[in-house]
Amino acid sequence: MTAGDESAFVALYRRRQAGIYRFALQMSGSEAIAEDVTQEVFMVLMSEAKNFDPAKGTLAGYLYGVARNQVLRAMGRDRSLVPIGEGYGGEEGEAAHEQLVAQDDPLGDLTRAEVIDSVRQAVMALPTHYREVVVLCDLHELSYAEAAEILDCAVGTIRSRLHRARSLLIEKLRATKEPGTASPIVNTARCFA
Amino acid sequence: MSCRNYETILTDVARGQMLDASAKTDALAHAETCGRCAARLADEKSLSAGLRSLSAGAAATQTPVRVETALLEAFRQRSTFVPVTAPARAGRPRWSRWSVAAAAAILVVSALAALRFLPAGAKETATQGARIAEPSLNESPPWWEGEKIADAGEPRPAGGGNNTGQRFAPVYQPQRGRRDAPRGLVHDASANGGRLTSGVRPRFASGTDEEIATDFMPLTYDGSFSQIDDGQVVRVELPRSALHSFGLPVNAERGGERVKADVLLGHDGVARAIRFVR
Repeated sequence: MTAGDESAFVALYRRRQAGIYRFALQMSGSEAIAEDVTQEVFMVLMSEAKNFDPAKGTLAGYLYGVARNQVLRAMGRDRSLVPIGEGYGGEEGEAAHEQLVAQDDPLGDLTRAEVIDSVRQAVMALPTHYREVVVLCDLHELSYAEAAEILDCAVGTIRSRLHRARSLLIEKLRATKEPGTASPIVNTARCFA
Repeated sequence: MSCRNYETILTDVARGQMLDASAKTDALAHAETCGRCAARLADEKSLSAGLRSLSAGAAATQTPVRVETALLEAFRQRSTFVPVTAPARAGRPRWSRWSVAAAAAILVVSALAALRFLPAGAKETATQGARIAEPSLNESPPWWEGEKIADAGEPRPAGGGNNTGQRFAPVYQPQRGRRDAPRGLVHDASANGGRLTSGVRPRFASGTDEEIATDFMPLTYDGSFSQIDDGQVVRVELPRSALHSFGLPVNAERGGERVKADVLLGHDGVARAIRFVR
């Protein structure tokens, strides 16, 4: 590709574009940002391919890392935009959610197609450093080591962030079903018997 | 297993991660005996199922085709540029343009200073050659003086030409898609970053093809710049008084102004020749 082989570039793009685009979309919630980020990632690869060092990590990790930086930059520029998750607690959302989730088990029907959107919104409502771990490890099914490489942190940090992020997600989904239990400070139900 | 230990591996159990078999067995056994931990495991498993559904629902998501189209266009533009420059730069230090320009300016100033301190005989010879090459009153003033010389009404000595003076005499060359260069070398700044290439037709931006330039004048004592087959031409600006150092007439009233020049650098970075450009 660095020698100007167009077919190599096309093959690489078609293999990697979907993952990068989905990552940007799941992180930002904006198709426009996801599109821009994907284009920018491959423009960077095109112009700075020599900066990629296989000894330091995989190409996928390099591309995700560039995408993450671009997403954070784009989200910083668009702080004025209201994240999708902000409207999650509205009356319309509650009414719709009550129709979708069984009364007795707030998390029991998560596998239903209609609930997917609720999960997506809950993920979007997570703080960025928790959201990126959930997106990488749970939605993209990357290993802890791969996520650590992309986010440039220790594997232990990934584990603890993921644990905390999942606890937050459960709390958010529970709070959606039972508005009275919503609390700005999330206390994960634990027993230490 | 205690609830605290159970909590540390709960996420991995729910996500189906690889675990030590005994640890997983212990965790599941603990969940059967502890109601709250069993509920936590159920919540985590439900969440994992929901996240898997979300992931599967987005699996078909693709980047819009227009992104690939735009990237391919950008790639092709880069590809057409690379073959011209890449072989030429191979094995050479990659100086920035500013570094090269700065080095060229220093070299030119050094050369000019050296010329000023030439032995009197050598300087006289150069001056004589320049005087001979000066245009007569019936000729147009040299381009570097523009119309002001005529306005000033300064008398200029009648001049003729000989072989020694011709090298230093300015040549009026309206440039139409081509610049003169030693031994058929053509400076194609837009195509290859300022390198001299052979047989490459130059491209000039609109408005720049009307430049007038003198012949290249050697900056070395043996005048061997015509033997260069690889080098760079760098555009610099010099005080107009520098023209005098090359035996060219200068209007004293405009001595403080600046004049453009092209410096021919050899592959070793040493300035070999210079020409003045308007």
